[in-house]
Amino acid sequence: MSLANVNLSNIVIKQYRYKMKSFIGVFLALMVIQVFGILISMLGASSSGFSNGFFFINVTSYTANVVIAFTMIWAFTNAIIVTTKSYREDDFTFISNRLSYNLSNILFLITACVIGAITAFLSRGVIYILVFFVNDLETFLTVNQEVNMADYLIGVLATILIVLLAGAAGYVVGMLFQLNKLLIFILPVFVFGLDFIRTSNESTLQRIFEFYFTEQVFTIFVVKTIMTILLGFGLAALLTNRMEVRR
Amino acid sequence: MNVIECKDLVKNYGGANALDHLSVFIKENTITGLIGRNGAGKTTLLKIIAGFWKATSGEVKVFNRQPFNNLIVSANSIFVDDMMDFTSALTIKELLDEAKTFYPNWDHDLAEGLLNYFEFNPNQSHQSLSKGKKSTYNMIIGLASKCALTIFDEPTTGMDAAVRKDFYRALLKDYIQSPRTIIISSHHLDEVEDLLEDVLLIHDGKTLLHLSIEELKEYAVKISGRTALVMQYLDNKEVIYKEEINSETCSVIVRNNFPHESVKRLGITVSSVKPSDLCVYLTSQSKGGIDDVFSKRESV
Amino acid sequence: MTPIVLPLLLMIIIIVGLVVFNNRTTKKPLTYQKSRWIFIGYILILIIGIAFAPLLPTTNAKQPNNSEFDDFYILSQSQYTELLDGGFTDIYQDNVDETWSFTYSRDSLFLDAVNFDGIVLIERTKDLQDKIEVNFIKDYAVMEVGAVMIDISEYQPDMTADLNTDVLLLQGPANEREVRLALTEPEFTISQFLDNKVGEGYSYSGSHFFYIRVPQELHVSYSDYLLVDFVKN
Repeated sequence: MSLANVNLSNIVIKQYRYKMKSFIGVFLALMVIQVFGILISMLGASSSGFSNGFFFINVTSYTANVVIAFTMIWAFTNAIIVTTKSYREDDFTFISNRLSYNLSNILFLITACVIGAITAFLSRGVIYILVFFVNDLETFLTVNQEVNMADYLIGVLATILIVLLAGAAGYVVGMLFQLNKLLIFILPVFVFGLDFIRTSNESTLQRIFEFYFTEQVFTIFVVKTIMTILLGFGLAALLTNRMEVRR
Repeated sequence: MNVIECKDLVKNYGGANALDHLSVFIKENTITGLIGRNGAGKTTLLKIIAGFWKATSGEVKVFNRQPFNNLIVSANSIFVDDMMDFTSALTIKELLDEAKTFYPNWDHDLAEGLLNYFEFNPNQSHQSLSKGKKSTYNMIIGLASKCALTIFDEPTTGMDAAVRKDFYRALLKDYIQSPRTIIISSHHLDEVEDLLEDVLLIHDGKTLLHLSIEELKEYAVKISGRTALVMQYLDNKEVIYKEEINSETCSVIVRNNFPHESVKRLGITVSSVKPSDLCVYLTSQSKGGIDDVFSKRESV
Repeated sequence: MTPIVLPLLLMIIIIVGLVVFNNRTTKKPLTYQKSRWIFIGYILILIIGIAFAPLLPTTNAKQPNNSEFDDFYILSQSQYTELLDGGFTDIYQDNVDETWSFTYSRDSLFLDAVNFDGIVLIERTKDLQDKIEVNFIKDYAVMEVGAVMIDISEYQPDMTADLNTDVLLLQGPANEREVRLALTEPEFTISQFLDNKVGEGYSYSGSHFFYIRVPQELHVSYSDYLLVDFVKN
């Protein structure tokens, strides 16, 4: 029997297609957490009222911020779950090596994160409609004259990038957990420990958050996030290239 | 041509050597039975060959390549055991379609035919199958993938007798149709004996024997007769196992490397040893066997 | 501990929840086909939502022209001075929301108010004989949301004026009118890159007052809690 020849990209695409089917539960989880986020968003992001004796104006602002934040958490968790044994074994049942396994995982995570980010962004429509019908509202005011289509486009891209950032972080953390189970306890302690390491007024943890979330120049934000994402995925692939499977 | 070449293979696992300087060569297009007791290192060896695990030291080559992280080896080999993981999102029918996209030599007719023959409900998920059904399904994947190296690790776990018979028959027919290198690990040889061309017996992580099944049948004989007579005769023989010893008669398994006539003339009977029994004898911990445990207790 | 830690703890709780959810679902999983249709349905709902949300009775926030409101107190000092100097017709004639006219021939009038504690300006004029003219001016009401100002003048409630023998009663609505407004704000992934930050916090400013014209000779007295001023002329 002559040997069948295969190439890497071919196998990666096959594995990716297989994952899009076999990890469908990941998308159901996304749906559940986003519905949960939509319900919380209906409460309003911030609310304030003022009265001048004549009338009392109650203003509540609504955004999809909670849904986006929940989607980030989902991306993080989901990436960890993807690295666990039961998901990994699925791959090594059929043709795979660790590189193709990592590459197809990364492709899958990117797809999932893009879908997650876009659905999170789209959820604003449902939130507004639900708010309007559930709360007996006088009217909707929109402050959108400052926000044009280009801003929305930037918003979608930025959402995709931060969701991916969360996904990449989850993937690295998940792979670290796979390498050594003790890290499950050490890593949270380390992260919380960062909060106590202070330079000047801010904790290191705060600084890390600010590095991404207070960047006002979009292009620099893109560079920062994409570099971090690539670094994360690369590190995970490197860490697991010698991992033994089907234990 | 050798499909598998292992030289001085060592696998340290949990502080002990699961494989201890094991060397073996397996030829192309053979059915080899990997026989050994529990913990002999069968699964460890197979997982290293399949490229799942990495050897601690030594050399392993499959299709002349290091199997670990090798995509060509992965594409041309399949490892079937009862721990095979399939997604629960797809039905077993859909899983066959997935496998089809992966394996270049996949035989879809065979897979569907077998699925039908063994009366699977195609809409079930792999998780919901019984243990025996799972093993049967995994076997179907293993056969239909037609990989140049097909590894079955204890493939019949949970199968009932009828299905086992069917499985071995299917395996043999498929092998004749499209010859390839097949390794079946088992701890009972008699079940697979008719199927095998070669037997690889390993014990404590080492190769004990690697012979064709014919050679194995001739490897040893049982000599029995009056104890005094047999004992006297054993002096220059390679004793494998002493089966029954008492003051009157005894029977002993020895290497079959002497002319039988001379012995028979002495009034000692020489009989053949079943290969499966031989394997048990060769790998038994003490020369006494389980009976010893009980006989000692009685004598106290 | 910094405030970041609290959301982090919340995150961990949600993560644990997700993992538990994951374990639950793997025990009795939905098939791929079913799951796919459920998820496609969800995406369709989201798309329908985003398509129909703009059709809600939404009013774009009217942004008042900044030059119109140089000062956001009840009445700017200059305007107030102008009013007191008799500049009502010039400045506010167009903003009169409602005018009540009463025939009145007595010598004195007492002003009282219910649910109103704002400004009342009284102009004595020769133009009126045996007649009182009450004007309620809704000038403007502006809400500030961060940097953006929104004109909410149209939500100012209506007032009534009634004359009972010699008491002119200015009456506001018995209950404060509650206006519930929903404000859509850009998501943080948008606002992070906006030049004009849509800030948090709201403030309100605006002006509304009664401007009453009475005959020259009428003697006007009023209750203590009304801020009453007389136009000089």
